[in-house]
Amino acid sequence: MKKAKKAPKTQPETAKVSGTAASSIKKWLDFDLDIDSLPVPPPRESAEDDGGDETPLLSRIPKSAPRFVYTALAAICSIVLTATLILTVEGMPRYGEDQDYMDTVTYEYITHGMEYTGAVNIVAGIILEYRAFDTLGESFVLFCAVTCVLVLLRADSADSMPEDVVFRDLSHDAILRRTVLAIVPLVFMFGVYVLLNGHLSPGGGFSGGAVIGAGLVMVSVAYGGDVSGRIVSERVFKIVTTCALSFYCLGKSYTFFTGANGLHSIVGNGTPGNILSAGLILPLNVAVGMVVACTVYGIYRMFDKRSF
Amino acid sequence: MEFIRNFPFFSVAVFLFSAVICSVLKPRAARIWTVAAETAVLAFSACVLYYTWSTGEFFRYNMGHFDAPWSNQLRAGVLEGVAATGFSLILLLSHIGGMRYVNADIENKKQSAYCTLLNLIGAALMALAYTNDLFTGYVFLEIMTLSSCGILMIRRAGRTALAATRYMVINLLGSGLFLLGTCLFYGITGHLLMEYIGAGVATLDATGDYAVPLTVTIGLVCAGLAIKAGLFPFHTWMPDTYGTATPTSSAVLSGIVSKGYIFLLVKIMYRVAGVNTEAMTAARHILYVFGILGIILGSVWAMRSAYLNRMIAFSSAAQIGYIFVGIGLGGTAGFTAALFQLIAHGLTKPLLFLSGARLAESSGDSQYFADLQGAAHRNRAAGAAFTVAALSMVGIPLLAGFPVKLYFAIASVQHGILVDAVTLLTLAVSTLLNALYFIRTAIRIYTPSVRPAEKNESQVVIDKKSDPGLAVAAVGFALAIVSLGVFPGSLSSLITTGLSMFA
Amino acid sequence: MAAWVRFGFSAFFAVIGVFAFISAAVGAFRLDYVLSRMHATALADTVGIGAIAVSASIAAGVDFVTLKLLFSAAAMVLTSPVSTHMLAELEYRTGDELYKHVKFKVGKKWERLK
Repeated sequence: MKKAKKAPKTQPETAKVSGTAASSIKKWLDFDLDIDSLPVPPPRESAEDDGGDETPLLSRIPKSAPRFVYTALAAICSIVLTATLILTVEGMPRYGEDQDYMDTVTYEYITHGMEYTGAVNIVAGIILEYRAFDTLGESFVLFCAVTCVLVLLRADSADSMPEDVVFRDLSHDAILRRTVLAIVPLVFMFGVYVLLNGHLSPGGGFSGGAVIGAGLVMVSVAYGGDVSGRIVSERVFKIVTTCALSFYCLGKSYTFFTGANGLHSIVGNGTPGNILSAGLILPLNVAVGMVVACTVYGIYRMFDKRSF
Repeated sequence: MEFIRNFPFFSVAVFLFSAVICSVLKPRAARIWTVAAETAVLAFSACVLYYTWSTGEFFRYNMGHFDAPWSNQLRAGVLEGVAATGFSLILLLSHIGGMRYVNADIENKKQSAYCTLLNLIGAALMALAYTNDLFTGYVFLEIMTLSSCGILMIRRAGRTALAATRYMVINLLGSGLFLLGTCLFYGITGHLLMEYIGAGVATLDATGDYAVPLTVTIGLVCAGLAIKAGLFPFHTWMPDTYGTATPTSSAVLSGIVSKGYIFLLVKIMYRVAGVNTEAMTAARHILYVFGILGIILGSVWAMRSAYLNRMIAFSSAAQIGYIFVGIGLGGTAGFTAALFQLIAHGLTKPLLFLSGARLAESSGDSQYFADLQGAAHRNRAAGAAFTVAALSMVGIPLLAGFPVKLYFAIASVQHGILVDAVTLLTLAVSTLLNALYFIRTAIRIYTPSVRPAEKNESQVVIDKKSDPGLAVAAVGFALAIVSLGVFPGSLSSLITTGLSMFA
Repeated sequence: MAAWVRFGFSAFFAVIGVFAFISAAVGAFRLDYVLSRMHATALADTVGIGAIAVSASIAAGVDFVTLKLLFSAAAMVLTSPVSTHMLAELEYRTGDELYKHVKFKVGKKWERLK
């Protein structure tokens, strides 16, 4: 060990090369094993600054350019992007213009949509039958968003809530309670109606679920977490989300598998116009609606109270 | 129809289903389920690759009971099989390798959520590899963005929230531009399936209609995906992000998430917009210029960084620049080089992150270079793995980095003298710069450290914590790197075959 | 003649509604304290929507559409004052500038507290 310590020390003495570039590269490549001449790392902040964790701050916040530079760049980017998009819109096909090669897909949807999917509402037929894979992905986008919000915001204990949150809690107001008592049954009824009628009239899982979720948020705001926790607690949230998404995944996988392999699927189309028709669209609407309602309510509770 | 044709769909469905299940399982069960899902998908992808390679043609898979222009479709050829196999292998090895750190860094209650997010990333990658539809590509791109933000911010340490926010804002900008491009493509062609859009774009190219929207939308799509992948001016999120995340997250993000976006970009170039049309050629030249700048500046900044993780992150920015240089060079040779670098970098970078984390842990949990001195003597396996990966980055022959540079040189010779000179000069300078900081680090970790006065016992304290996961991952990655270096022709011939059936 | 009477009533209510909306828009930009702005905009939702709904239902005659319109306007008139009330209560509980702008009753006199 001592040898290793002594030997490189002689190197800098002999390495008196001419020219600063070569010498600085050489100095940079050589290893000074003397502990005192090692480059000193930047001073680490105390543990409190890091929130108590052990990793050091990885960089100082870099010095930024003066404010007007950013304003000017932002203005330039916005103007360029806006001008480009306006020019683009000007060159696009006119509204209602008929182009033979462009409208094959939409004509097919409009003329045969009801017959092949069984849904009177063509949009529901498109998103849940023709292009069901995209809707499956969108439901998982919602699931992913609520998972990320849970990861980020859930507080582990109720004691860690700061005081002014409690003070700002307006949930025991009499006017609010009376009004919500009158309105919320209508909201839920309307949400369920929109949900169940997705294949017959404009509506469907996403919009109906959003209405139901808004109703749950109203109950939580007016009556506090205890009452709304009886309707949707954490356990209910997990069970509903998991069952709904699993049902969607497995049900649609059955349809994709039978469709791609040319097998016959047991899900029929029914008579268009009946409530029980259009294949899997009704159950899928219900599943998607449940997921959306739980997502809306869950995200609200996370941002407001940091727990269910 | 053979049963094996269902495997692309099974890959996506397995990951989606296990994402849902893992959110309700206990952490240990969720980990086992996730590793099982990743292994199953790796098997599926390898089967698809073998099947498409042996039959020599691609196949399409209708998602649903309807036919082509009106329904959703997956399409699998040799190149998609290569990408899927590579992505699932890297995901599996990164997850196994970093599992001990996940258990240490993340609270127990959130570990199931971490497995959920990894499953969602896997589903998105498989979907991006196999999709034949532009809007499906966008939906799964969204899933990948959200879940990669999730796996970044799940660790509560110092600057993670800031890094994750910056990452999210830049990525959302890229997603927005990509969505605008998708809507414009639908507006001018009336289709969402990639091949039909391609036919429409070819018609518009021939007749000259809607020239302005076509150019703008090609620009928007390329810009959006390049921003998400981390091309030169938009790489600023990399250092903080990779520096503060848990090693599996850094490995997954740098190894496969950026590559998923680039693979989608290549697919769009071939199938939707036509690689050699005027607008696309101009876009590729711009990407080439930014790639060159990214290579040089990324390496310069890597040399100046004070921490191991930041150095690796800047080197990531440089290597992504390589891929865009290959895309800019174009032709079969250029794209083969770019896709080879895509796989090779995806295998090398996770190994750097995982072994670097192990070395830092055995140096008193410090990432400073001063503290890392002699780390390889404290943990021989991690030191060896880090050296293999570092040498591969530099481009030493017999490792995966050398064929990359060779293919880039071959691709650039087919162009005019200016492009050729610039590319070869950039390759030379970047190899030199890479050597400067990677070989220096490799030497440093093997130089015995002298901290005399504090410890009176023996200088070398072997780190005794056993980590079988990291050992498996390190062996897997190292074997893959060496085999790519010694037999590059196998992968490059697969890529060339795949490119011929990609359009 | 009957058509002109119907038009007159409809126009009368429509003018009331439009005036409410314009005054709310002007008030939202020109007033300086949040409670004052709230006073201006609260009227827009309630009086404005109510008046325009009445005007539209007079113009449309007795129809199923009229019933739906009146129902949705009633829901709006019921809920909008409640939301204004909640916002005002939040401002009362947590506002910093409250004491600069509002007079409180001390004993028998209304005066501005410090």
